[in-house]
Amino acid sequence: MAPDDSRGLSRRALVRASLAIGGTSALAACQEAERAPTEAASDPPEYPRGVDDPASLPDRQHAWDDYLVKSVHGTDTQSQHQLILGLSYEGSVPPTDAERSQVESALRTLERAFRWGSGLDTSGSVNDGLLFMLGYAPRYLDRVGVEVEGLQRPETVLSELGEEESLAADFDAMLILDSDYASILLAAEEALFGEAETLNGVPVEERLTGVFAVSERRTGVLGKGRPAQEIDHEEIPEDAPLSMGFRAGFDNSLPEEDDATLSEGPFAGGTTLAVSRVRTDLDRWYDQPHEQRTKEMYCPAHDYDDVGDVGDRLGSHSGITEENVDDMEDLAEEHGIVGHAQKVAAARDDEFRTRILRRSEGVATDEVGGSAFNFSSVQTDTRKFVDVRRAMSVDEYDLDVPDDRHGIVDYLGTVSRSTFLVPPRADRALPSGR
Amino acid sequence: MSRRDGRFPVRVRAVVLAFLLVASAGCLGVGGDLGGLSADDGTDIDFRDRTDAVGLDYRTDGGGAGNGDDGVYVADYDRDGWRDVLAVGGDRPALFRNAGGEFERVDGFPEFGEAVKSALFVDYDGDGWDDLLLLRSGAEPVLLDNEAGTFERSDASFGNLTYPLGATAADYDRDGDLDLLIYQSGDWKTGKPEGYFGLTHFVAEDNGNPNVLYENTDDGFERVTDAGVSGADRWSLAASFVDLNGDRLPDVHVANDYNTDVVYINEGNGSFEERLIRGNTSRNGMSSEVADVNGDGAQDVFTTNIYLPLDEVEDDERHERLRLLFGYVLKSGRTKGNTLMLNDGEGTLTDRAVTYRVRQGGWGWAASLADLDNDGDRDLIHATQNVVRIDQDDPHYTHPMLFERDGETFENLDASARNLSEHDGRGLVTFDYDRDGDRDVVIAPYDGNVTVYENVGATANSVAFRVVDANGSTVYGAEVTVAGPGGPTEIQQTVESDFLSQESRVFHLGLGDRERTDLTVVWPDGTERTFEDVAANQQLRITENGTETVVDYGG
Repeated sequence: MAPDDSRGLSRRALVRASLAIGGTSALAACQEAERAPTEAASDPPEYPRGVDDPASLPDRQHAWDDYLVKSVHGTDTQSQHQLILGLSYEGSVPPTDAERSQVESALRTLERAFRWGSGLDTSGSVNDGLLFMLGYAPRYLDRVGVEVEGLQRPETVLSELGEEESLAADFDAMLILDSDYASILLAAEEALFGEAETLNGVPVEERLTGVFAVSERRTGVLGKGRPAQEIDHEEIPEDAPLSMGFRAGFDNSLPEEDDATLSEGPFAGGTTLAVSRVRTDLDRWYDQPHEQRTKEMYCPAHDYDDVGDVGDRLGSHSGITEENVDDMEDLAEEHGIVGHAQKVAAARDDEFRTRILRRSEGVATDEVGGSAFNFSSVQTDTRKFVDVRRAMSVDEYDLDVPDDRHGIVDYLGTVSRSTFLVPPRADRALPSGR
Repeated sequence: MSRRDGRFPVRVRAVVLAFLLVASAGCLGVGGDLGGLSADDGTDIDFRDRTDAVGLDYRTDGGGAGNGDDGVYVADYDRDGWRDVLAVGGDRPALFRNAGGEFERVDGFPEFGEAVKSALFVDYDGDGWDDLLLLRSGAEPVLLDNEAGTFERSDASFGNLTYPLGATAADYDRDGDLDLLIYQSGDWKTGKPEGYFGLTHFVAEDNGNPNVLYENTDDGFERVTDAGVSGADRWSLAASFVDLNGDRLPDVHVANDYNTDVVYINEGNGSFEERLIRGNTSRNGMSSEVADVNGDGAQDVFTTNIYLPLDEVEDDERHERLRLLFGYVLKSGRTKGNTLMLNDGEGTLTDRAVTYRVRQGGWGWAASLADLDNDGDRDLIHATQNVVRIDQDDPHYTHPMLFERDGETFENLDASARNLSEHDGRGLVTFDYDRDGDRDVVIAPYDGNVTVYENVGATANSVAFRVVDANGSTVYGAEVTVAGPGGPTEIQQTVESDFLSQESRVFHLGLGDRERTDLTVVWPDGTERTFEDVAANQQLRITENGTETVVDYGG
């Protein structure tokens, strides 16, 4: 398909086409429409190439902050496209050296084919590279004899949050891929699990097929204008970066990467990953006036002059202060509202630093007949995720505020949760205690 | 009296007459070409990256959200005849001494850390040694006194400033010393300009910070609060003190981000009349580069802006990605490209960027109108922010923008073919670091290495000069008319500050194949002298008593 012929084919249409039809041929058709980077004839390559020497890559799989482009405010700009692959393990127990070699080789192909994110050139505007991380669920780790102190089972997380344990995803592993170009993600997936022989001009020598199978595939987008484009809901502001209409991910609401990294133990340099799928009730959310949504999203002390239409008046700081948290009861009484960011800030540490680092967050583009988003975070212990999520709950507060004015939690519904160990890069291929 | 009515035309006529006499003596070529060179004559615009060879090793670190703080500032601080460079935007500012065309980092230069946003070399005490003003966010400016080549912190007090992005200097009240205008912007880390949210061209109630005028009292500096330049909280990015209406008083042009540029006309009584530049020119100006572009003797103003030809992107995904990414820029209605504002001689500026073909310049920042090929007219180069390669096969706009003066207009050159690389550029200066008679280029990127380009294309003759007083201090406001190959060119001496940049106060113009020229100087007090038959290929120091050769690079 010539580029001119594909004009008007939205990202949503592309991704949905591959989802709805499934299989290699449909995916290839979509990639062709986007001048897919799997085309061997691409010379020079369609996207910047990666490196042959892994020593030049960061030791951490989750080292993303320095490889994301910066916003005009100096904050890290999350990539616009995510591909989240829930995997089932089909290999040996314990895994063989050959299987480990296969996995490592397949992942190295991605790193040779695409630059690691922005390649430290964070002053650009587009991440035309690829970031990814492979994590292992307790289901897998149990089988291979690995225990990780800071990793809870997803059932435990759900139980501690008062949610149904049946919502635990039955993944053995999780591969999150992240880029500003959907076609990079689709091509990477095709190289790992499909039949592509080259990736951005780099030969594909090994795949994950045979060791892992994709049991669930989630796609997501975020960024200014994306939600309004991808979700069939006319109330979503045209410039909103997320479906609920406001910016997130401010400097002061995110910890340093070091703070989310295991500093000791066999997987020092790694992290734990919590992945959630959450449904959003946008009809009820947008039934409220903008001013009320603003206060519910951030804090009752915030008003339009601080926030703007979609949080665009805020700079690198969410405006949430310790005083906002300390004054929660008084503000709730005055405004009859509790803010989401205000509540989450209540779970910060003694130095008012956030304890979980969101890694990908996006409006689900694979959701049919509703709206949902994918949320993932890394932290040294999944209990920190539980603490933060629990801080969103209405029951945690003795405030006379109705549920539908108590942050955003009343408009959310958990669909699935899962937890993973993300080893450091050197140990990412099928860790085993046996 | 306006320039059109009186002084300047007379002087131009005199210069042109002298010029024609020389031409009739057979010094110039035939065919009515007044000695101007074409590409066939061998002089050209061409550069080579000499960063490693000359030792200017400085890396900026991407600090300073939004605009950045990555700049280069030029002065011959030790008066050895070689121009030195101050670089800002890394861990701390660094002064590089030019030792015969190679740079040595000066040890012991005072440390002020990353808070330094910008700088200005200015001989505030008139002793002939350029002092240095360092501007810091959220702190008081620091004035370093130049004691015969060594900087020592002075006790000058300025009071705290919030977000000073640069300064310009002139004797606005004509009391014999240099005053300062420090312009301020806002911090993108904490917010956006009010104009970001409005489609209208002029934002009356902006949310930046005021520009501050300081009068030099000879015993320090005092804030002037009633001069009429501090009434608005704008996001100013660049400013120039320059006489725009020919009354020999320095006026001010201020380029404001996400708002209208402003001209302040000096009324001669210590106050200024504010003139908003409306209509076509009400854009978010991002530089303030002053030169007489159309040869009428009045100083014109060039400002960079944003021009992103997204419609040229054919790939759907890229087009949509870029549309979303830059939608906020495009929809503002302020980003229609560079502006070249011609001055009618009375300070009224009218955009003629399309006529002069300089509109399309990518995402521009600091600019320099300079004769890059020594053919006698001023070319144009400006830094560009490397936001994205819109055309991946021919990125063009990610390189510095290079325009060659071509008769009545400019031609947009392929900078990569002239060996200029892609930069995420901010500050930029042109000056003759190797004293070979042409303008070299130094670029400060947002996050990367400051890069030095040697001019290897200009082979024609040139002359460089600086009008100074008895102490050797630059006389700002002095006007020098150079009899060049294409006619007279008037240069008004200013401090040459621009967005995160300051060029040399040694002024330069090519002479084509002319081996001699005439220089007519008008001092701010109206004194006028013409120096005839000045030999080409030298750098001169000019006083009312005559000229002195500083460098002879013709031999």
